[in-house]
Amino acid sequence: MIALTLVFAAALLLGAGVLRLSGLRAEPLVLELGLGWILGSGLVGLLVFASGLMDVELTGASLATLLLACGLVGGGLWGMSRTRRPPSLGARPASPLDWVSVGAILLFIGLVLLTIATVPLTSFDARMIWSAHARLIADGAVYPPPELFDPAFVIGHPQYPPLVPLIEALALSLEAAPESLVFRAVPFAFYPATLLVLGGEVLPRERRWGWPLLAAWALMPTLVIYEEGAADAGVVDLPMGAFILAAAVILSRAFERDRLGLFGLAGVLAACAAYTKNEGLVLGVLLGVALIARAGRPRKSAAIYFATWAVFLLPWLVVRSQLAGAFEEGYLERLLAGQIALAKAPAVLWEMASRLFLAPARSGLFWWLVVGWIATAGSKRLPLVRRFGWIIGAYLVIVFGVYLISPWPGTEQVELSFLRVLLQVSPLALWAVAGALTFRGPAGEESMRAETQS
Amino acid sequence: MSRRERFWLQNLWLAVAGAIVLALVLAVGPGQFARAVASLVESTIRPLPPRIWREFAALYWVVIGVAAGALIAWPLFSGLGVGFIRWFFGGPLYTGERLRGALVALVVANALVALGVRAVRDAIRTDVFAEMSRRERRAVIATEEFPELIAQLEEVGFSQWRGNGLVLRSSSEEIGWPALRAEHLVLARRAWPRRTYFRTTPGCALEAIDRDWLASHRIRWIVFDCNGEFGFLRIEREPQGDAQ
Repeated sequence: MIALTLVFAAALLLGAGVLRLSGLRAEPLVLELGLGWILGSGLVGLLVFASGLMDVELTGASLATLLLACGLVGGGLWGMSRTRRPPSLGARPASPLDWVSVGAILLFIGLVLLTIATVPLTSFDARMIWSAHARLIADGAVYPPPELFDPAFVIGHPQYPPLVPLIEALALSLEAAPESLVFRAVPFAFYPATLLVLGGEVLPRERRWGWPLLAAWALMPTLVIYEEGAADAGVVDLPMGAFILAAAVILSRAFERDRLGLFGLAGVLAACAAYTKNEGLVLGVLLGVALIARAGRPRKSAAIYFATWAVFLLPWLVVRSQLAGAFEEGYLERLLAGQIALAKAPAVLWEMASRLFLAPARSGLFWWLVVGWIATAGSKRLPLVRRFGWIIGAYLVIVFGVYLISPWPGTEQVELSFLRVLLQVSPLALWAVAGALTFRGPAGEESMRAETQS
Repeated sequence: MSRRERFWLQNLWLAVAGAIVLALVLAVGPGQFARAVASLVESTIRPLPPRIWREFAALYWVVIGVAAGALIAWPLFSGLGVGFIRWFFGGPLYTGERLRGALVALVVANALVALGVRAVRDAIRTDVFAEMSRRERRAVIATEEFPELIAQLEEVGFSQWRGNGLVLRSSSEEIGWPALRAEHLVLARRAWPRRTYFRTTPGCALEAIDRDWLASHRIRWIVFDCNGEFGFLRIEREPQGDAQ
């Protein structure tokens, strides 16, 4: 457990150091912690990936050295660039509703930690895909493992992105904790990180509803009781959503501060999303398009974002093209062959809508809340364009198209995967809609004018 | 603006929601609507074992019903009711904030119920797992899937086998999508760190596989997954065989 904590601590230090190096300073501490955690985890995973490509043997000793270097470099960067005290959030819980929300979040985190410590991994996909990849990497101490190139070797989705399994393999190689705990704890680490980022962003914007809004996301039943997608289920939808959220937050800061380096950092985070799950590729492209839409015309900022994204992504795409393609759905091939089941479109649409709005035990009422917040927003442009909210709609349209191409019969794939798809974009949705109405005080009025004028 | 006009203006969203529900009932018919609601209830309680889900379904809808009822009756509140709302929400709710307040309160109430469901589920699990070793817990979870194959694997003493394995299937067998059968189970739960491979041959014939391939992949056991039946075979290591 101590070793596992050290893995997270080293990632946090590296991420926080790189954030400061890139010019993101004087942010609320919770935001810095959350973004640092997400970015650092991504960078550690990318470093293990790069080490593997450079034929470094991924043994406990070499990975411990790598981790130590990450911690030292990150800590050094963070310490050197420490200029002034970060501003406080200024959003303590006030009403009983706030306290109920805070209490529920803490209680839930406690319950999840209890589950992580006592219940073995139960998610079929987690066991078949991500934990199997991690075991293979840790056991062979190489990346990519030669078995992944063998079409006869049995593993769930050999072409799936490796970032989370690489971090898990690192923890396994260091013998940081029992296997099952590692497979649950590594993806779960992105949950508090996402909460910190959302807290740092939502609470200052939503003086009145901030805490209940955080609770609305944190206690979404899909994150609470869903064994095939929850925060502690060992699947990677939440980590991918965390990378997309972090990329969007960094992009918004890049616009505010006009710092080109931050656009590049957002590109790295979007690439991390694609290293985490294939859907991250789509969301990374959509985020880039949203960046252009917000900027008004293609600019240097978009070029930097896309260039960084592509440079970081290219090695993985090259590796992936060589891996065996067993048990893949083959969407692109089916699309090119014109295998689109238009007849099931109404059924698919209904299934998607019912999971969005009519599944209180799964999605909760979270998506009603998102729609309600947009409906009552003073400026629709703010959540949809300036905070990239429209890409969620575009993404869901693309997912709808994918379901029509899917080889799965009927609406089976919607039933199996759509709740997880919604999890991927839920942090971004909350971040986009929060504070679209309430801009108070002189500073708030200033920003409201700035939002509406542009 | 008269008081009556202000009342309707402030509660326009309630009128719209009511109209939508009414339109739904009229469109699909009361019977179908009731079945849809029943299905919604069922989806709410599915995570729990049958013996207790009914109670939780009732609790769930009582909480949601009370919250919704309170919000619908909102404008009629006076005195103590208004005081309670002001206290709970930390101040009065103005026109633009009513929808937000209603949504937030409903979402948090829903989440708390989900939290209760999770607590009960974990309590049941803890109870079930209390007397078991970690290895046994894994076995219990695994037997929820493919119980027939698990039982047969136990029977042949699979856990004692060494070396890599092969799952063999007939190339003429239509298995459809997804191919989640023996190979997945063997890999996911039982075989690690032994490697498992998958091949198809005409008629499930082992002879069709090159012996060099078997040797180079260090295959020491085979699970035949042929036409709905499972079979098992151990391959003894040849005297001059490769090292494991």
